[in-house]
Amino acid sequence: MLRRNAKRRKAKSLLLTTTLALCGALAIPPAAFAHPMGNFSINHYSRLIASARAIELDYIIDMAEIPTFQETQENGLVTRPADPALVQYLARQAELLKIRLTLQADGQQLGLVCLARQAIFPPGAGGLPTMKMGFIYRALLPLSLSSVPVSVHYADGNFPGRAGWKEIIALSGPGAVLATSSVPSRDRSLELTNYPTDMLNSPPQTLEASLLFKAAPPGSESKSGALEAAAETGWLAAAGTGVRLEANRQGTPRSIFTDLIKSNRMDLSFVLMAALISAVLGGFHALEPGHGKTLVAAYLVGARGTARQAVLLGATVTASHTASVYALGIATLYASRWVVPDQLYPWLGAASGLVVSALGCALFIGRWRRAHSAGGAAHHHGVAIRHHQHVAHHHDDAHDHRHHQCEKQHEHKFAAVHEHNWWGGHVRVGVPDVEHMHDYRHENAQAHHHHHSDDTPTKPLSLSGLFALGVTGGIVPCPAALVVLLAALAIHRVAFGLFLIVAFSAGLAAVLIGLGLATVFAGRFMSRFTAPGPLTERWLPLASSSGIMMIGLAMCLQSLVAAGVLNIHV
Amino acid sequence: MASDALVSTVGGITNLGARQRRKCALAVQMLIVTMLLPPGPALGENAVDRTIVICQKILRVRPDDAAIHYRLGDAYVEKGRETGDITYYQLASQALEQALKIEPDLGPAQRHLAYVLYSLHDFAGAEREASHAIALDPRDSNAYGVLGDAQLETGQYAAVAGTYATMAAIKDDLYSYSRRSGLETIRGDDADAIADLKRAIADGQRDGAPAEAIAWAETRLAEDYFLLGRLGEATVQDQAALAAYPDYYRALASLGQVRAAQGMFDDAAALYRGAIAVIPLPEYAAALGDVYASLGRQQDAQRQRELVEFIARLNVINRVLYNRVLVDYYADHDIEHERAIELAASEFQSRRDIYGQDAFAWALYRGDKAAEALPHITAALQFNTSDARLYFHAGMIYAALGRKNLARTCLSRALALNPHFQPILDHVAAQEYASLGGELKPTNSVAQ
Repeated sequence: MLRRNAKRRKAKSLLLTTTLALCGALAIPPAAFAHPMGNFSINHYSRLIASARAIELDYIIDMAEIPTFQETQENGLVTRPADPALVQYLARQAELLKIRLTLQADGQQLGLVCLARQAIFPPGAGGLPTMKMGFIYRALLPLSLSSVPVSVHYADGNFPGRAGWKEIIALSGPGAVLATSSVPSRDRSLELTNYPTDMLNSPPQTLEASLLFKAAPPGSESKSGALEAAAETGWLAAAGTGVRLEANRQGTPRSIFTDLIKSNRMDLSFVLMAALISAVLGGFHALEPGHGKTLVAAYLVGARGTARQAVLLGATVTASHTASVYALGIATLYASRWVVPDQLYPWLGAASGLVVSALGCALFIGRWRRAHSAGGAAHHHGVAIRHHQHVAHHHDDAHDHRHHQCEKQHEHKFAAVHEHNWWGGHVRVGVPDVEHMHDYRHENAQAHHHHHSDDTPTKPLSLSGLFALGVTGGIVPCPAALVVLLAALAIHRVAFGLFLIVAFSAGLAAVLIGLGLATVFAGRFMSRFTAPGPLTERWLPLASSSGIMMIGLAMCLQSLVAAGVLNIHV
Repeated sequence: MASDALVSTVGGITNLGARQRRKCALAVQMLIVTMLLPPGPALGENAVDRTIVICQKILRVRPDDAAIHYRLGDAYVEKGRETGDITYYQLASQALEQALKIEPDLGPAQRHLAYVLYSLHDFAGAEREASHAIALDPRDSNAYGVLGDAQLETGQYAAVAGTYATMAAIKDDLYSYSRRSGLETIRGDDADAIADLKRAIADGQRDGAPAEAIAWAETRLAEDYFLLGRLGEATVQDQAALAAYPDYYRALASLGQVRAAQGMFDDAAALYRGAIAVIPLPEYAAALGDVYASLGRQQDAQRQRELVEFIARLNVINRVLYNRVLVDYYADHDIEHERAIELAASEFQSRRDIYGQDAFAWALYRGDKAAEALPHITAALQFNTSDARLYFHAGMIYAALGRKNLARTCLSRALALNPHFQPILDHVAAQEYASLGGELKPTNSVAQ
């Protein structure tokens, strides 16, 4: 039992991190998306690898939004790796950047030859592109290394004065030993994919390096480990084939799902793999508390319904969920002709905020009425849910737990409030009817199972009721699916995005239906564990629905501020 | 550390209290750290980078050292000034907050924190923190300086005068003189402003102030000369700044402005490009666009304007509150009237200095709301600041309101101050002046 709990906790925390990442990706705090080194930075990275006969220089330039805009503007580039103009541009850049790179061995300038080059365009602030270029240069040493050390001097004179991360590292390759070096051999930024910056580790500003290399004594290579270190980085092996660049892993919160769609490879096995992973993620998504209402409904079906109803319910939820994502995506696509995506994000946020607050409002009114009338008023509404208090309890626990962790993990992030809101809104929208059922129970009976049977003895759940339940359960589009669609939009791969959402939905449906079926067979057994709650919970539903309203309004406000419609002065 | 031993010895002899002893220890430590950090360029890094590295090394061993935290924060502030990169201001505030956590009474750290907020355009925060720093150390002239800077930016001119006076009474150095000159420029006391800046530069050179700080004062002086149409002297000062601190972006842009006024548009374009290569500020891109337009290079001009728009979009995404540059850009080019008015109005809520008044007035005028612009341009000229742009805007507004005499006087004043105050607009001023029946007086400022 203990082990199972631990396992569940682990699964829960995995889910938590995944959902947080997904929520983070949709939450709109724009500052969180900006290039981690600032909008106008140009970041440098040089890795020198000396071998017996040559020095290899792996050179990366990572430009933030503004310099990227200037480069694309001046060179007529389209920010896509497949752009034909890019090939010529990179060839030109390889020669231009080389001019201001100094590489000397014993005072003699070495000629650099560019072996490979590549560029990628990871999205930065508001989805605006950034550009990362990688070049592999090689310089032949005038003489092969011997036991007499060769002094190597390297200087990077590109983009003088421009702010940015400026890192140089040096390693020894086959047949060479690094005797002394003014720069580290350890890479801090993982090839400019991560910019770990704090007070004691500010961005490196190294633009020069002095090294002393000599030939490795015979037989000592395997022990040195330097070669392995160089090989580990991947580039040494890649020198013949090409450069492999990666986007920043920091500053742009993202999940595996969104990474999938950004991949450059598009062969069949990749597409199938992507579909499979999407389906699995969809399944996980179904287990998240956001679909609590659906779960409750599924349980209900389990208690009193049939397997057919469970399947139907799962399918409805999935269909409405997919449809809502598609609708929003198509609206976005249509709107993007007139509106640039970064302007669209805040409006999207405002719209979802309004929806959430409207839902909260409706719930509040419903509950208010209910709280002020007798239990009988609940009939037309509460049919589906009355029995399942224990599910509600469980669910609330899960929510509170999440809530807590969410705040804790993100208290320093600019995005915190928003992520939290999104999440809070999502969860609360998911569970509302369940809470109300407490009042009803306390007002009416102790033996509620029994009571319930009396209340609606044999009346089967109507098909339309089931349908409505499914639609309302699925209508709020989930952040993950939306992000995929918007990402697809950003890289002009809408079809692939739509396909992945189908896969995602299929996974979602499979799990929901599976859960429904499981509960059909386990329903009666589970319903025995119901425990009565305290009377004070009567006011909780009202509080929570007004909470939803506030959250929705806050989301809406924040988005409007981001859109520049409102200005709040500090 | 040796300083601890020294201080306890001295403290023992002189019977200092624990609190005084701690303060004394801090002072000695700060002195030692300063001595430990020899200026001069190191391999691939400048002096500030070196200071940062050394402080980081010490802090790894002595993480509870408030003085070193302060010194690190100071270096980050300097780095932020040099690069214009707000990352460094954020790092500075981390270091300074840590210093204050260890030593809550550390006045200099408190004052630096105020300066960081000021640099991030949080003027209200800067005012608050600077007042706190003054409470900690009423003899800290720089704390009064930062307080005055924040008051100046928000247009509290009566308060600034008092604050700067206190600052200058405590200490006269580069920082106090150059600050006071800023107020004098606004108040139209041009001779005093220039004299103070000259004094500031001399003091800075004598005291071995950071090169960037001296270059900053020299660039300020060049800008004051430019406002007065004294282009020759402006050139000399900009060149001095570039000699003191090579590739200094402010000096490059300032010299670009001078060259454009002299009709040397190719040189101006090269200088602006140099400034943009260091920091692509929208005002530089806008100015470069105008220079290109003057050269007839419409496509290049268009590109720079697109860059301004792009940065404006980023500013919206990043929720930058103050967009005065953009207001001026829109109004100068007679585009986006409503957006310009909106931006100017929202900034005006919290910031009412004369240039905020001017930007608001100029945007309103372009949006055909000259009557609404009138009180703002009047406020902008409350001190008769010697700035041709202000008089040009006033002249255009008066002309639109049919007040020809006032319009003529203002335009005449603008053209007398600096007939080439801004490419693409100075000839508008001249035309309007001529159409109002004004006579252009020959000026010799271009020849200077």
